[in-house]
Amino acid sequence: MFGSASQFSAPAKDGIDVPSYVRAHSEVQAQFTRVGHATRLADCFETGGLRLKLPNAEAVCEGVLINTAGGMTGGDTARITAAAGAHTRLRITTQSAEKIYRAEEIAASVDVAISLGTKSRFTWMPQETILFDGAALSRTLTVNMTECASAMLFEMTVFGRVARHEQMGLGIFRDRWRVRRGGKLVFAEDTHLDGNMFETLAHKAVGDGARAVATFLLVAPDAEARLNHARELLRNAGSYCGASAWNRMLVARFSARDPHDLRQDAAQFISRLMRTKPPRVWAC
Amino acid sequence: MVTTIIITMRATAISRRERTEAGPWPTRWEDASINVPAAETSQGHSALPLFAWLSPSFPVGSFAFSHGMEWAVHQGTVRDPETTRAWIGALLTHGSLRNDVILASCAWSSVRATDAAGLREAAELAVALSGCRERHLETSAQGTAFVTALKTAWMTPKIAWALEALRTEEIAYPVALAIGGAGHAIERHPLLEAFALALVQNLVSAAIRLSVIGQSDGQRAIASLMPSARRLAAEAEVATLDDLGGAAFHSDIAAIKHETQYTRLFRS
Repeated sequence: MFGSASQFSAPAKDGIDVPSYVRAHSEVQAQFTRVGHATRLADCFETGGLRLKLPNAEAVCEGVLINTAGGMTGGDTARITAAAGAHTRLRITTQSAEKIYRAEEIAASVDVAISLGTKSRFTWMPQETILFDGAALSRTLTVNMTECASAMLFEMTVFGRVARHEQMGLGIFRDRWRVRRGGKLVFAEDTHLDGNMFETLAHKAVGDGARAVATFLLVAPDAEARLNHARELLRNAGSYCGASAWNRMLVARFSARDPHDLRQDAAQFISRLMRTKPPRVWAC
Repeated sequence: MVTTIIITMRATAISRRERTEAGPWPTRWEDASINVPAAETSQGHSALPLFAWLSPSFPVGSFAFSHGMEWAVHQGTVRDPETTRAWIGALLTHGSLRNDVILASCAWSSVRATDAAGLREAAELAVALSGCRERHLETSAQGTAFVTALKTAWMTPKIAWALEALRTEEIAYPVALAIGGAGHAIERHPLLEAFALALVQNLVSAAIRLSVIGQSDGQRAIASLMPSARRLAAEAEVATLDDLGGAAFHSDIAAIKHETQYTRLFRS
């Protein structure tokens, strides 16, 4: 079993040689359908350290993703695929903030792909992703929806362990959103930070010293009608933020030096705008 | 050395062959008064049209857009030569200007290669990436106006092919410029350099009109940002759509904030 000494050989370069089997590859594939008034899980496939729990399946089905590994490091992959059928009401969140540890060579990757059927309503609001100093993460969020479906998407990213006064130095962060409605690409976003994040985020046009950023997107037939309300809600926010709407979409962008402010602003904004309670795990 | 020469010779041979293989232009564009003569475009390879297209007098209305900078001025973030230069410089390296030049580069190569699917992908992405209402207006209004001007006075069969391939009402500005450039056989390098510098120049001009800097400081800002514009063009020349990406979070928020700014000169 310990025959191969090479696996335990001296560290290569300045990092530690990690055999490929140590990398965690986890995946969740889930399908949801409408049964009577309820949205039910029709099929679910789980592998690796990722689990999908459904603590609450009333009118709105709530899915909570749990990464049992407790975080991700370079080379780890997580793939989440969800298909919500016609007339479903589904909200997916995560049990805890996702921690991305220092990467040695390759980036960790998270790929989320969602497909939404006719008149379905879907919410993607995981808790924040925390990039540790030296972390490398490549993330994609792809949504394919019908013309009359609604999707609310929210992602928050924190640069460095702020509570430990960690300064995010070198790192890589790529985040790619692609939303197709009725087959047409209506929203795309590409975030790309590479190199010394602390220095880059200090630029006035970039982050002016921000330690956390977030994007909220609502793609829905009535999205534009919510703009005034959205702006009203952001008026007294502690974070630097704003809301805009066009083409049956509403976007809100947030940036803050203190991630706590952003989280609070966003949770309040989302629950009031969407008239829902934030997921219970968010309160912890 | 010898290898370099051979490669150059081969490249020239190929591009010549491509041109002859392209053959006679489609007969759909029969209106000879609109079509620019063949000799002008297929042999010239001149970047001269860029001077017209990127001049402030070209009817795309670039002067009306500040890309959210008017809010940054209102807020006091952009207030003097140094902060103006820093703001625009960050957009070149981390922001939407970088994306615009990459999009122009990708659209140019799709038109050059008569790759309809590639052109559609770049065009769709260029509109979808705009990020907020006024940025969407900024790129689509300029793109549409640019296409109108191309149709009025600068039509070539290649441009006709590209517009036919897209068949969309909304064309983002970088894609429209790339269609014009490739349609007039302008090489990618001068096109991207000129475009990057024009984007810089437009924002500097906005800063001047917002009374943040004077004419002399404006010229100093443009001159000092030229190396960045050049670097960006070189980077974009070999970039693919996969290389799109930025992090100008506060510039993006400024563009949103501008939408509710009470007194304003600019449309974005």
